[in-house]
Amino acid sequence: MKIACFVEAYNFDLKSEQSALLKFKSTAESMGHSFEFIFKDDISKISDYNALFIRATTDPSSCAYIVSRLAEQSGLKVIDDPHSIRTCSNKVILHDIFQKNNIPSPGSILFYGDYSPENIDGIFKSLGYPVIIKTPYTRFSSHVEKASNVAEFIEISKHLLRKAKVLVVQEYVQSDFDWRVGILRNEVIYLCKYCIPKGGWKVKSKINGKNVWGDTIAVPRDSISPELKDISITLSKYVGNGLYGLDVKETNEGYKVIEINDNPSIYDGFEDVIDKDIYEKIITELIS
Amino acid sequence: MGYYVSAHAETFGVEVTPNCTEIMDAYRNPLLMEKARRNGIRTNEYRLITSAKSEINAPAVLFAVNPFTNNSMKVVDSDSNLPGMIKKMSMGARFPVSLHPLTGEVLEITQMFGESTNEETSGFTKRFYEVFNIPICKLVVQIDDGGVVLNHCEPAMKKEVKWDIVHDKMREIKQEL
Repeated sequence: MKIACFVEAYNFDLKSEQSALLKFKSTAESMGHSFEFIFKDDISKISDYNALFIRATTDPSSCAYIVSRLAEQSGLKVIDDPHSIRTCSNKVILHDIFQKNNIPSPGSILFYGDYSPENIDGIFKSLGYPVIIKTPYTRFSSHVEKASNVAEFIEISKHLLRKAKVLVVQEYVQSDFDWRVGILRNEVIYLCKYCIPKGGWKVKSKINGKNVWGDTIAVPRDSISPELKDISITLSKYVGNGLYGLDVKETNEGYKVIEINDNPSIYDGFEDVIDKDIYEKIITELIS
Repeated sequence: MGYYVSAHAETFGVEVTPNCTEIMDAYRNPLLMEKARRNGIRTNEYRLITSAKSEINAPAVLFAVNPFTNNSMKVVDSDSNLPGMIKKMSMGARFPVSLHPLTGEVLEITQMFGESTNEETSGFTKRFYEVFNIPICKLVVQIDDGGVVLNHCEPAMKKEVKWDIVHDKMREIKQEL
């Protein structure tokens, strides 16, 4: 089988990501398949392959969406498929999915720019202080801000609404880490703690003017609690049967899902430290 | 905002026109071209490029394929202007540009439930609506000896729409329901 891996130049910037990509390649080749990196200029050749694995950042306005949809139409097995990209990339759609399916998650409200005192009061009465404000399309904690009071909320939301028609305003849940549950075809394939750096409030925080990432601590997937596993698989089934990374807070009131991501990070020495068969499982899924 | 309405409806199991897949298939140029081809709508040999190549020649019609640009059509008449325009539209090779050969007269038309603002293209817009299911949009086409060639689709601005046609069509649809 010929597997195409759609990447962009930045996928090779970090040694750990480059090394993970090479592990995917060597794993595929050891299983008797070809594994070629393809770039933007190769999009029109996609029908030459049997399967497509996307590692470039996905969202519906990116090239990755185009290549995913073209591959799907050409009958290739695709990770990430277009439906998963459209769903997971958009926090507004996720808000709807969580509500419709009673997924335990922090309270959240869609905000369209109604700054009337009644509306603002209603938001804070419902969600408390502080609140998290997100644009529909966020990646790696960008365009995710925290507002501690009404004045901050107005300033941040007005700024974010310049580039978005709607925002998701979410209850703030304090934690030292997020569970990251890696799911493939509705099965847990890895489990990690994404730690919040000291002095920050999200996995990638700005501390003293510098972006700081928290540590990643891999945990054996078999040690996942039954409740976390059940929530994660239930949600992934509502999205599809692709490769996902769920971010979940553990609170005194139980687990609360923050989001489900397509195209989850898989870096050598991070997500793969304990369950080392991630690569084989993904390649096997691509060729199935 | 229309995209969110469609997404919201789909999530809650409500049938919606157009759905999210149809919206994306129409408004992302390479997807538009491929769907048109598969359904027998005439297109020309477009190419996705991020930088100028020796085998690419003017005259050509270029469309930016990036998250930021609407109304991005550029007609380039001379080979010497192509590299600069491709560099600009690709934002320094960060995003592809869809390049279409210029073979006829370029027209911008508005399609409304299969009707066209241009009489010459009314048969074409009827077929476009059948295939793409987009109620209102702007189309960039070329007219040559063989007829109408599809190049691009993007959201129409309010002023580009003939609202009397839209209202008539809405009444027809309501009556059918």
